[in-house]
Amino acid sequence: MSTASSMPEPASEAPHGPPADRRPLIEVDGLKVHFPIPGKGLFARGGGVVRAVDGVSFAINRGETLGLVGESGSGKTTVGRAILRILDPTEGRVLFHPETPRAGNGAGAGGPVDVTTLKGERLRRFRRHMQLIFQDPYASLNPRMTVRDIIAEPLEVQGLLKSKAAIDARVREIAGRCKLNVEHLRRFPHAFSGGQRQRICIARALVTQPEFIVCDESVSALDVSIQAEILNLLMDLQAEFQLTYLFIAHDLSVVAHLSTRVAVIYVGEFVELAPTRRLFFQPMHPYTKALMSAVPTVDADAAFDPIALQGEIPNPADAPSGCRFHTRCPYAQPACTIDRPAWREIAAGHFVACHYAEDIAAGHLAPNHAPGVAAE
Amino acid sequence: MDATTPPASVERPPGGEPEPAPDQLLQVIDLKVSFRSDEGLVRAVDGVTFDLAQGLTLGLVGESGSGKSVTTKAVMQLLPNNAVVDPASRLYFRTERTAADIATLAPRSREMRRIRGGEIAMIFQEPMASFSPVYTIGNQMMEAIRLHRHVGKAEAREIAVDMLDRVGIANPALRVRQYPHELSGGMRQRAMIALALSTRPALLIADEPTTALDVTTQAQVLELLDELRRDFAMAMIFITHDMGVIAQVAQAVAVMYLGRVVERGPTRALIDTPHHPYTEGLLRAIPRLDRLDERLSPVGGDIPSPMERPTGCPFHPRCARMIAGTCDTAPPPSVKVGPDHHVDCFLYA
Ligand SMILES: Nc1ncnc2c1ncn2[C@@H]1O[C@H](COP(=O)(O)OP(=O)(O)OP(=O)(O)O)[C@@H](O)[C@H]1O
Ligand SMILES: Nc1ncnc2c1ncn2[C@@H]1O[C@H](COP(=O)(O)OP(=O)(O)OP(=O)(O)O)[C@@H](O)[C@H]1O
Ligand code: SF4
Ligand SMILES: [Mg+2]
Ligand SMILES: [Mg+2]
Repeated sequence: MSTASSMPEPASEAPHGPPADRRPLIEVDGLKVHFPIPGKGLFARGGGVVRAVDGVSFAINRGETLGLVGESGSGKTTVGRAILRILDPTEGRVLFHPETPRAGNGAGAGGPVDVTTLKGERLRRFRRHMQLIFQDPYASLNPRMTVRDIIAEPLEVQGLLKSKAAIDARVREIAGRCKLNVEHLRRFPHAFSGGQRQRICIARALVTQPEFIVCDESVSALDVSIQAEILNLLMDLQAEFQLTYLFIAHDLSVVAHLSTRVAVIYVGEFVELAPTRRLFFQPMHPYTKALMSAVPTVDADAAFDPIALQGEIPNPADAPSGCRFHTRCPYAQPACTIDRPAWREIAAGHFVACHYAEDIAAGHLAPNHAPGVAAE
Repeated sequence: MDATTPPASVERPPGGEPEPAPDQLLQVIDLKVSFRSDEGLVRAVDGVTFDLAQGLTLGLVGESGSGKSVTTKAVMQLLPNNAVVDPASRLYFRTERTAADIATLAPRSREMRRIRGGEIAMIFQEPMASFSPVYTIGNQMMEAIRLHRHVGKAEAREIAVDMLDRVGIANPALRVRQYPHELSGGMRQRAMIALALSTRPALLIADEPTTALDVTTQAQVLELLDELRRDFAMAMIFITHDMGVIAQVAQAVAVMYLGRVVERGPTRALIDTPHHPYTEGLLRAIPRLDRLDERLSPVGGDIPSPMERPTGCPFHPRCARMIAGTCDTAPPPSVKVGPDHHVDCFLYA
């Protein structure tokens, strides 16, 4: 199986930001995360598992944003959390390549760190390199702490700066970059709007000077104006601090704006990964094609004719055999119900998992009238 | 319609009590809602006025915290205990069976219980919020149906099965016997719609129902809702941040800013020729696939805190076209700028 790191796309494909460095910062290889099914009920077949993430391999290059899109429950958050080691993968490796061998980064003499094997004190000290910004700025801020203390907390927990003066200076600097002023630092989070709270979360994530940040639905709850403001801020910070993002979101237009490359996940498996413009304007996988056809637009001239997918999204505890998309795919063939499609590089930097991607692209395969050959 | 809609700037219409218009399903007139808090009363909805005809969809968009959810909760009488509705607010609701000012009904009155969940139904982003985990889908649907329609058990079950079938759930006779957790996310979403529609409401309020879905499922849900709206002559209020979704489902749009509707009009007219500077800013801020190289353009300035509500036009501190001495002193007039298209702004006075 090839991995995404073997051939990154030309950097000029990036819609924004500095040309992405082609060296990977993160390499994910064969990542699986399975959750045991708890309790009784219909789904509790003895020893069953939810295959939330079931064997994904990709790389995230330095300074780029990798977008990750897919249905609710498809495994996006689980991928992010496994990379950050907020949860433990069932199988697979996550390699982190530090910029330079730094003291205390958990790496030996400059080689990559296998995040999945870090334990105890080494894991704790490693966490400063990777941070998470969540969706809900309301739930993730402690109402009894001042904004200053909220932002300073990761520094104190990590013991990165010892003196209060040094911590204050760092907090003020990072808050300023996130458009929060000294006055704001004294207040409690309830006095802030959603957009301001999201800036507090970003400042808190940046204060340890991480290299990698997972943004999990970080702008989904915000109105379009505040969303635009936060996205601009994330892009500016990325350029300034050479940050690398994994950007998870439902809104495809938002993902397109921020991402260098985009991956599509379906029921725990990656189905396609390509440079942003390629993925949006020349999608190869039937699921991606359906996604792109269904992006709602305010443009009156653009015809809106989404490709209708039949049936339901499969339960990851009972995923379909072969290609997991075969129950809903308009192009599915008998082989799709049996053979799992390989994750293959169909063009430079363009990965897809579909047996018939070329035939579909060339128009050799017409959509079935009754999609989902083995539905139900 | 205009004759009965008072200018949003006045506390009470000059002619005394506003009259309900017979051709409107819902008329929200000068709705004001405040919340009691440690800092005193905080105004969340500050004189919202709009109306909605039978069988049409109104999109409600605007800033986070501008009062979209609070407005619709007031229509359902689902506001929390610390909410205070100004007694001058009018919520006229008129169907074949009802002609009432919801604002004057007690939340627990028989009539309100009949309207809530019966003639007006609501769906949310999280389908599990609509279901109890301990009863089967069928039991919950049958209970709602029997509370609002005069039918026996067997007929209620039939209606429930029909409704699940109608929303595209395969094998509905089996599904009615299942519990909510036994359905996939997508099926739960549709079951929630089936539950809400099983009482044949005249008005469906949808508060960001598709925000958590991928766009293929979203497109299906939108198409389904639109089909049901036409078949059942049902009106909808659809709250979302996604203008693209509004463009697909709504015939009319109301744009909210800081507790007020600052512009409302037919969807195409409002998107193609926005008049209020806030509406213009909102439309410019949308990320577009055909403009990937452009930097995003947020509405400038900072949102004022609800404690420090600006005088005059609520938008004036952020407005690039503000007329000094006018916009910052008096509330702007409501001006008609096209058919059914109204804007609260001095630029058009
Ligand atoms: N701690 C857990 N225990 C058991 N199952 C879990 C756990 N966390 C997630 N899952 C399951 O794993 C699958 C993937 O969940 P995940 O949260 O990663 O999806 P997602 O793509 O982030 O969805 P969303 O868009 O709704 O946030 C789902 O079926 C979910 O129910
Ligand atoms: N229970 C409550 N107590 C006090 N204030 C409240 C309560 N519920 C809402 N508010 C306030 O009322 C205002 C309007 O809130 P509302 O939920 O209607 O906003 P919204 O337009 O729906 O925003 P969003 O797009 O973020 O959902 C906000 O300032 C909010 O803080
Ligand atoms: S054609 Fe087959 S392999 Fe390709 S997406 Fe459809 S079902 Fe999967
Ligand atoms: Mg998630
Ligand atoms: Mg709301």
